Amino acid sequence: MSQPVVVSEGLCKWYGKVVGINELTVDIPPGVTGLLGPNGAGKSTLIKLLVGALRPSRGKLQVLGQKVWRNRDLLAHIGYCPDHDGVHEDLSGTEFVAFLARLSGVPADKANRRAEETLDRLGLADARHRPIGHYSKGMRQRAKLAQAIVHQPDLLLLDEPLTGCDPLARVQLVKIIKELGDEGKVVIVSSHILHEIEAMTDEIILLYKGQVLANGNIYRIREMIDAHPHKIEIHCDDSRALAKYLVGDQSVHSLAFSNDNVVTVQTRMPDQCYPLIANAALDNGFKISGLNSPDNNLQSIFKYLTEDRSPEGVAQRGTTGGKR
Amino acid sequence: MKSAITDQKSPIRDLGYKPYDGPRLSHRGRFQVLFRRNLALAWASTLVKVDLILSMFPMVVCAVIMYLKLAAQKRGLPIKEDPGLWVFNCIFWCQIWFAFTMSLLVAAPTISADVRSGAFQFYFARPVSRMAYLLGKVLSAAVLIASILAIPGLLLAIMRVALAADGGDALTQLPLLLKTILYSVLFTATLILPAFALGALSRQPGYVQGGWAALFFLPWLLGEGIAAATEIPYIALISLPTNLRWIGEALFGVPSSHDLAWYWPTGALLLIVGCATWWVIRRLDRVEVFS
Amino acid sequence: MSETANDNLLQLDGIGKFYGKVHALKEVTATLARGTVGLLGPNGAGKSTLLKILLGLLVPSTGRAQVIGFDAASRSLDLRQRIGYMPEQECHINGLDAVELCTYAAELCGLPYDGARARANSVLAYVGLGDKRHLKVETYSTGQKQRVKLAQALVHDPELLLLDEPTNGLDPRGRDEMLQLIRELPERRGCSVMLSSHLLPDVEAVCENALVLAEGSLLFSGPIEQLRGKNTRYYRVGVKESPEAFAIALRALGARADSAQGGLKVELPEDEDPDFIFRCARDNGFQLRHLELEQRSFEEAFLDLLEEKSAA
Repeated sequence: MSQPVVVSEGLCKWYGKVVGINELTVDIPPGVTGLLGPNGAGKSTLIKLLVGALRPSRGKLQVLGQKVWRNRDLLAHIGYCPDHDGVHEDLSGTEFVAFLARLSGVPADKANRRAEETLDRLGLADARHRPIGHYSKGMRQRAKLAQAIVHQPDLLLLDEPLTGCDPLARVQLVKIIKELGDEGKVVIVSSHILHEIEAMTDEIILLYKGQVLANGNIYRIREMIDAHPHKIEIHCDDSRALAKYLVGDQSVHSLAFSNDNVVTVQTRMPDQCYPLIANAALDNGFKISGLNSPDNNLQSIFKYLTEDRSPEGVAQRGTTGGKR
Repeated sequence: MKSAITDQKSPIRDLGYKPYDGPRLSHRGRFQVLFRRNLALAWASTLVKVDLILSMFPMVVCAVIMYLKLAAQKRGLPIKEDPGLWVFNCIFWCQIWFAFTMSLLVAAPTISADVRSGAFQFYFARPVSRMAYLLGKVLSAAVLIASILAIPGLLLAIMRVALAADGGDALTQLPLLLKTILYSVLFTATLILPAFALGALSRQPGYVQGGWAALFFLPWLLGEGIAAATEIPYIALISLPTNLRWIGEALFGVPSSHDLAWYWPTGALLLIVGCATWWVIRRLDRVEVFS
Repeated sequence: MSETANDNLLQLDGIGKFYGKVHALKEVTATLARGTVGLLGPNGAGKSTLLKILLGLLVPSTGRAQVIGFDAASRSLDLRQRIGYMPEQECHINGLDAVELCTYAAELCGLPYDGARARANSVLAYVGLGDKRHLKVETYSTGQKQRVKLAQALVHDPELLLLDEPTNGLDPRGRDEMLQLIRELPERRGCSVMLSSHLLPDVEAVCENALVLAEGSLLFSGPIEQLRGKNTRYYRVGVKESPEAFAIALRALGARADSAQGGLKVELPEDEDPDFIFRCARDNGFQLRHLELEQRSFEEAFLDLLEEKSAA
């Protein structure tokens, strides 16, 4: 199903005079979507609105075609893994997940079995009969994730799902989240750990001060940031000579040297620039040992988009006359 | 590796991280740092200031009473007890309330508040020994509590000596000063160390305060009540205030209501306070600095 | 025991620790030179036990630990004078503002009051809390609290800085700034840094060496480069067009090409250099966009190490 599961239009949420979210219009398709933004950008507000914990002040918010606020039946199709610790210390893993499964509408006779299957899937097979109070931070996190997916919801909201997990658990959980996205669910992952979001998905929503700053595929977003043209880092023994060769071409916007054998080219016409580099290697005898795009990743997008908006960034753009 | 500091004669000064070249003190006197800081923190609370100031008022009343009794004695009227006993009365029957309140505010919650806010990590990841920590805390609480007990007591004792009938009477009354100091020290220790022992048991400062109030007052009521009913005075030895009272009565020569020798309450009190101290030190030694 | 600091950051000789029957650390032996070290390992590997031993707060059941030249068990107060610890959990005293807290921290490490106060102010400026330093620490946001923790670890100018998850709860910008602050320290001051974290990119960004523990045993100690290994014939390749089609073209010319995350992993035929790939791309109408000597990512190397351990 390619229809967006989550649709919002002009969504606003105010806390008295403080703006949580302002005029948010976004459609979220199935698959994994990363929800990013600096602290205070409105991520937790959006998640709470989606979970039905807050009422929208204005605008439209629909999940599976229905409003979420005060819609208990819809909540059975939504799974939420919160940031804070809200687990019951004395219950065992299975009891905890089964209890929350029943709250989400799973019939009592199936709840236990589903709980056990989910815990096994998340790698807690051995520990599921032990009380949660004895779990390590990473195991608790997985128990919280289990209760979010046990009732097989269509919409999954994960708020910093990997906190406290060791590297092995992180890799496993990233894999599981990707699988959930491939199954056709809408999985919204809110996190500050950008390289993990990158490992899970190419689709993101970037919030900034309550509004959507960017929404879509990471690489398309990158291409559209005019103020920071496409960067190509070339490793070549004779970088100065290579630079001299390249600088004559129209497609080269600027050149920079970082150390003896690296030259970084910025270009607004990558389709012309890359073949130029290939020609340099093959026809003109330059020994190129490495080629990559250092800022074609989520960290850079985040940095460029949010810093260009900050007061210092705006001032700087004023002086250099960059376009966005 | 770049050189550590930019030349200070350069036109642009380096405002980054610099090394520290100044003196470093030995850790023998480290408890003083803790003492000063804990005292400042305690003093920052309005309740503490109010308690201390209010506690000076009963002294005035006791001074007036003592003066009147001394005047009556001078005129030859028969006075049963020496007016100097009013030092004890002031300390035990008046100051005890203010001193206990101070102990409740300052001594009882302090260790558990530290455990809760992660202050243990703050202290013990540094070159601070457990004893320095304890000493700093005990001394800061002691200064406040001892002031409440000793300042009125000493002032009254000095007044008694100053207003003595003659030189001989003054000399006999001189030990009163020493007794006041001794009693105040014992009283202070009793109001601090058991509270600390309780503080080492719970992470909630509120519970510790409640527990301390219960531990102080309930045995007083129950102990003395049962002792009176059954006529077995030994039962009252479980109560800290009772022990303090009997020791004070023995020390200041106040005629007492019981017939236990002075070493009973003294022994009981030292036992309780000693156990409390041992418990606190033991718990501190074993505390997990970080999980 | 030598009084002067010797060149080594750490010298661990058969360190073991028992908690009752639980064998938290097993015969850990390692020597590391001064510099930057990442302390890594799954939960329950014994990292916090090791940290406590290094801070002199725990006496090992067996073996000896020498940290920056001091024996951890017998000279623990002297040792903690020279180590700064930034804990993972909350670590402040209610009722104090940032300057008072850092001044107190410095005084507890032996600085006289005036020196402590001056030092507290300059360190708080360094970590970026200049404006907010007279507000009570309880009112700070997560990012600000992390900076205060760093400040109070640095205030007495330590030779060794121990950091436990320093970027916890920080947004991406805060993380970058924190890592930048930490990276600068060995350069400016020559102090050593030991970073304990689950976030491998953080460790990679800051540390040259790594100490890896799992289930109480030492799996690896040494430069991260050594852990990654080197090769000269595998390349990671990316093209603008479809990677699978390019893979077919490469195989036709005798190279090995497999799909990998973000592109292809290519093994060059004997005696060929990267120009081979450029040629193949140009001749077949592909636009080569990414060419990089294959290096096992730190994450892969680390996970392989753990897997070997669990297989053994």
